[in-house]
Amino acid sequence: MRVILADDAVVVREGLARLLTDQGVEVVAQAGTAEELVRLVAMDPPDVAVIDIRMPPGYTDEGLRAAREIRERVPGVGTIVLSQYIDVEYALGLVTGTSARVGYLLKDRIADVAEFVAALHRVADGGTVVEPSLVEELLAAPAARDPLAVLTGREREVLALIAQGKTDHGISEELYITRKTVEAHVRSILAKLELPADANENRRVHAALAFLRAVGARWPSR
Amino acid sequence: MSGRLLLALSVAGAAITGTAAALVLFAHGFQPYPPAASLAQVATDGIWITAGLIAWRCRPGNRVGPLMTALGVVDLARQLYWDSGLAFAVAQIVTSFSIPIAVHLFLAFPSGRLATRFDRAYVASVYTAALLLAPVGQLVDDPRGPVCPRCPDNPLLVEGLRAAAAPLQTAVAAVLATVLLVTTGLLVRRVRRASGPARRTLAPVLISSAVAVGLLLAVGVMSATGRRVEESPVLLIADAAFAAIPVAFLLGLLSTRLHRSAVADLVVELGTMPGPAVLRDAVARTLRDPSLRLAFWLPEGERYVDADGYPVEVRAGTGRAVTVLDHDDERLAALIHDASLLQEPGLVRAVGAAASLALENARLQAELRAQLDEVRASRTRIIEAGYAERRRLERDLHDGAQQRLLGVRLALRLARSRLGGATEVDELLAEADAEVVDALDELRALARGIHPAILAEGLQAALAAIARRSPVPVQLNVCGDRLSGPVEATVYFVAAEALANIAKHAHATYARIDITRADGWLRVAVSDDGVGGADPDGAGLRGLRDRVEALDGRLRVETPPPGGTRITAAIPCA
Repeated sequence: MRVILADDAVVVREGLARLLTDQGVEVVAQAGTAEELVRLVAMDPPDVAVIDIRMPPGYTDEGLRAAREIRERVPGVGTIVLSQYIDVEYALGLVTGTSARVGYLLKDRIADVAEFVAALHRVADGGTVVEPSLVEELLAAPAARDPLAVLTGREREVLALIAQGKTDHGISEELYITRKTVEAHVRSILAKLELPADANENRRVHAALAFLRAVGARWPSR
Repeated sequence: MSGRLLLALSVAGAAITGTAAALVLFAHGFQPYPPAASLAQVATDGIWITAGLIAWRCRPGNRVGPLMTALGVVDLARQLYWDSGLAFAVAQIVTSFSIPIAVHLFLAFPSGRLATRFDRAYVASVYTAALLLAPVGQLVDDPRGPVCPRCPDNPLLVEGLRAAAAPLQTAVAAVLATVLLVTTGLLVRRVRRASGPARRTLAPVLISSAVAVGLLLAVGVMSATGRRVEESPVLLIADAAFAAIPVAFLLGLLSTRLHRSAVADLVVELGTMPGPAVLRDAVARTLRDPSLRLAFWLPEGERYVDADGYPVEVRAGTGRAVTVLDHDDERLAALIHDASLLQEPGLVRAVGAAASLALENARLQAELRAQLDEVRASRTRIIEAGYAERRRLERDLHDGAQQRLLGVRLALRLARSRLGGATEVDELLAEADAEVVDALDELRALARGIHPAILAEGLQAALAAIARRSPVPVQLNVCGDRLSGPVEATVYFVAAEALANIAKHAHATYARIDITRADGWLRVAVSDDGVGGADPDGAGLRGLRDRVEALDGRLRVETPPPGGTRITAAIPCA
């Protein structure tokens, strides 16, 4: 596993690098700006780029734009964007026009190194990772017109777990149901959301994205 | 003017005319023209004199009256054929001046002043031409001849110059034709450039003059073709048309007198002490100038402002003139009006005098508004500076302390993983990590209170974030427009404070935030279904009110009939 870290805060970048190295992750390069990151990734593409959203010069969403640029220019590279706070728009902006190899996590998650390394692996393997608290809060938030209203309560739970990047196995453990039941739920969800039921991996990604788009649709885009 | 004075002036005019008529009829001299034609012309002159005297009396400062009177008198000289040849010759010279006087009168009407330098130079040159040509004409002109066989001898006649008579007459005719053309041209130009009110004043004079001149030209043509014009009815009609001209002049002046009675209406209207805008309309109506602008003088700022307190540049332009209105030697205001009103300076002054009290009042209002604008502008600058400062502080916290604390967490995590498992030290490190997490949470809350960084993503995202943190379910209806930084921050803090209050006091099961934008106002309403009873004077709501009012907005706290609380803030947003 080869990663590049991008964060203008050296203390965070170095700390994370040492932590990841200890966990057997190879940190091949570090960048302090979005520009530098894009250049480093293009020169020597890693498996995953870990990117802080707020970076110089504007300290707004430079990291997000860098992630998009990387996906366009070096498609095989996974991107995990770290944010100080939850933003549906960020999450949607990240998954727009893509189907995989993306992650969106609160920056605090990097201190939970085992979970974070797992997330790196999921993204490197072609999956998506969405901040769990975002998923929970989206589900908890009341909405007048809920595009997910067609789903049963249990189906919504399953979909939320898919969006978080959980495997069928993980979901069956989490919800104390058999894997067969999980698969049945997934099939039902895809049918109800009118998603193409093709290859297994793509299907999961589709479901996760469908979830994000569906909940994101409650917040009309600006 | 009183009816008696009018009567007196009419009698005076009639007396002069009657005397002239008597002289024409009963003078023991001769009769060059048929009596009827002569009497008609005397009557015309009488009308000129009478109308001129009335105009003179009505508008003492205006030269139109004297000019009209002079024209009548000078033309009358033509009708009086004295026994003395010298008197006859002098009368001929005097009569010649009817041409420059008429030109002067037409070009000076109705103000009595010649507007342009060209006008002045031209009129002066016509007077000069009369001064030169008329006496010279008497040196060569023998009045006796087929036209006037009984005319007296011309004592000024120089026999040796007789040969020059014909060329001189041609020259005089050429000069007359030129004067007619140039004067007509100048009048046409004036009508074309004149504004509505000026045109209405000029119209009767010009129309009657055009008719009269047209008829006179017809008479000229008839005369040239050898007919006897003296007995032709066309000449009488032409005389009648000429008689109508002084009446038209007088009517033109009287119509400006009608404006004056409007001043009386203005005084009544202004008794109600209207605001600056209404005052302008009233003055514009009185002066019959819809384009009129009123500028109030601010003595402190030494500048003019309009009714709304905005600076106004006061200067005359094309077709525009400025009249400064004073009261007790203090400058009150300036009228920027149609230049044609300059012809009635008395009227403008009368309006100014009538409006002075209301003007003083309106000027103070305009001054107040100008000051208010300045205060608003400086308040906006202070708010924006404060907003920028908050953003800088938040960024410093985010990029400094928060990142360092996260670095500490990573270091603690590394230390624990190096230690490799459950030891007493690991527990201590875990406790330290928990402390750091708390510190980070507090710091984040602090930073959010100073300036919510998520506002960079727009109000929508920021409000969604606080809605998610709210323990009471919140429904959001937010218009997606981006607004200025201070407005977005204020809306955010209104929503955050209101939701915090709902969580703490309302016992609500449901809350909603509605943000709409219409008619230049942004309205944010936060309502709940709780127990109500919010204290509008509590510290939290008072702070919100200050924030909202700093942006010229209004905050309202109410308990609508079904219960619950609704906090509404309306903030102007262009």
